[in-house]
Amino acid sequence: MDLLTFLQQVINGISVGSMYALIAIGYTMVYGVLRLINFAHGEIMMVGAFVGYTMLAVFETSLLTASFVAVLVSVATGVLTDKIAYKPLRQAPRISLLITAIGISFFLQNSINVFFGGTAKSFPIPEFFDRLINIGGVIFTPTVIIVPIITMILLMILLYVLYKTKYGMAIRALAFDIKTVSLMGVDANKIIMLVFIIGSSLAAVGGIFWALSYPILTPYMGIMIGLKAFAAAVLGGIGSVGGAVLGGFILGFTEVMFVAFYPELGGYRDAIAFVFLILVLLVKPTGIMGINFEKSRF
Amino acid sequence: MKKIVSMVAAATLMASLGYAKEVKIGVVLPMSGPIGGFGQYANKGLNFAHELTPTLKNGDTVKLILLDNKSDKIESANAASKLISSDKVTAIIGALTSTNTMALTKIAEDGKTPVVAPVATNPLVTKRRAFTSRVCFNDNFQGAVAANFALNDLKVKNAVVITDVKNDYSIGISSVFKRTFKKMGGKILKTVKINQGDSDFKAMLSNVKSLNPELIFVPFYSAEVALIAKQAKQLGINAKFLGTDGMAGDKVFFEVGKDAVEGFYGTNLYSPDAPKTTEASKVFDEKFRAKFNEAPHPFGVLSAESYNVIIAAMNACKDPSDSICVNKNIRATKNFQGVSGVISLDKNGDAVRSAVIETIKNGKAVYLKTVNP
Repeated sequence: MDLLTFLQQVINGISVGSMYALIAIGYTMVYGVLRLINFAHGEIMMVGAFVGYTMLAVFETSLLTASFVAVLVSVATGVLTDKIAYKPLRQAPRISLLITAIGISFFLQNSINVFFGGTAKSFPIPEFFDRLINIGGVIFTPTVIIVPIITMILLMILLYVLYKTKYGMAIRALAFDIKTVSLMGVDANKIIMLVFIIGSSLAAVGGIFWALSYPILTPYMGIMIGLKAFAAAVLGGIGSVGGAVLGGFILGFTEVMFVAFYPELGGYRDAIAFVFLILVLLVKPTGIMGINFEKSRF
Repeated sequence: MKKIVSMVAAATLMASLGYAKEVKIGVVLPMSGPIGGFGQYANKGLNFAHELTPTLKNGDTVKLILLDNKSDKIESANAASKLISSDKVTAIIGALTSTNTMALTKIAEDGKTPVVAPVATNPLVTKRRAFTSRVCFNDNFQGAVAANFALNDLKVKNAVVITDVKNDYSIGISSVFKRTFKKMGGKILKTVKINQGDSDFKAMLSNVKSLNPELIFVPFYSAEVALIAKQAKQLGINAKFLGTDGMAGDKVFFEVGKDAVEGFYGTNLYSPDAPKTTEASKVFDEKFRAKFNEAPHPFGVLSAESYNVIIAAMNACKDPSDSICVNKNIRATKNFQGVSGVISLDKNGDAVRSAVIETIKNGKAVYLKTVNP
């Protein structure tokens, strides 16, 4: 493989990786506070993509407006699932919560399926994102550059919120010990809602980015992306925001490089995420930026 | 109360016996899911055929029972079980594509119910299946047509083949294409594998680009081909692209592909612009255009054909709901003047028919030529 192709592959890897990272953050944060693997998270991303599609294709708004509405609707969906499905089960065994999450995921897939019809939708990419940039033979679209930059900016904001604000402190404290924090007079449910707001809005942004890069939407698109982002979160160390981002990038890179070097084995691409998942669980269950769950998080 | 209910029930039963009988045809189509677009077009054509011929010659009405297989093979098998055991259908049309049809043929075989597949072209679909027939050619023919076209018309010398390993149709036609292409002196540079439902192909395409192929063969469905076209254009790949009958089937292909799919070539089962070879196809085409103000879709025409073949077979039986007789007559179809052309079924239940070659121009599939077997 020559240098040019390699550079091209690096760019491909970064762009795939940052999308996994955006979605993985939501998994990791919810896990941090609720110890719940929110399997509906991939569907929140899908909802975001579909709302973005509706705004662009039906109401013909600008991408910015579309993203804004997509974030709003996704946040509403995320918060509502928490209020309706998870909140009544706070004291229930964790397995009930997990099964509820899977149920919510089916519910969202099928609602979108009924609402938008069963066929695949084509996401109208604004002109600006469809241009080609050629730097010394490496060709890419603006999306490839914008996605990692925005991912990084959002990550910085998130880290600031987590470590420098009162709410961030509350989230971290909640992850540490939910009962004690409640006793200290912090409204745990409000903070959990905040976590869902952050996670869902990042998922919506991820969904819009995904649609910009791969403009075919189906109601079931969230399943595989969600599972991979989950694997990325575990790889990076579930409960750790930085770890989720790192895991996302590692997974994206490995996938791209695997296909780049062995395109004839490309059919096994999806397996990589799960091989990682199994290896991490066998070797270092706490992941790369591992946090011992009995001690601290974030 | 109970008495009244049972009396009403009995009366209804008597009434239904008094009228002409009803024969049921089960329909299994992907109405939703990744290839939902295919199913929608197929169903439109099928319903139109039903509208044109809603009854048999003896006056029995035909009832279509549609089940959505959600583009999934397990759902296809479930749908066939339900149609055979609970709806007691006489014949089944479906499940449109190869993978899903292959999932239900065993069940139909056990239930002795004939299956007519509209566009399932994988050679294995009818293999060792006495009750499965199809109105399309099989890919031993289509793959050879594609290889021939590539070498003789496009005059390419080498090719990269991309195979969708989740799709039996793609696996089958890829291997036939490679075999024929090599036998005729072409060179296969590489076979690359993808999965249906994948969306990122850049890594794979960057690798393909470094091989500098003259032709890229993309024998799979609309969504994946469109994404590959788009990403290939983004990477500056200049090779010619050749697809197969699943390529331009869904409008998502044109919506997503836009200018990236311009100049693509594809083999197909039927083209509404090809010269009509039968009276039936002329009439069907005209009536369809008059009603819907659009050209009939190849998958719709082939589904309508499946319906007509079954109806003809039923008409030839004394008891049209005798599925074994219907199957025998479907298999005996010879020189059938169908809405998609003249078809004859061979001993395996595969239609012997011509293929068309199209190219994509201005967001539409344009007819190039017809290839006869």
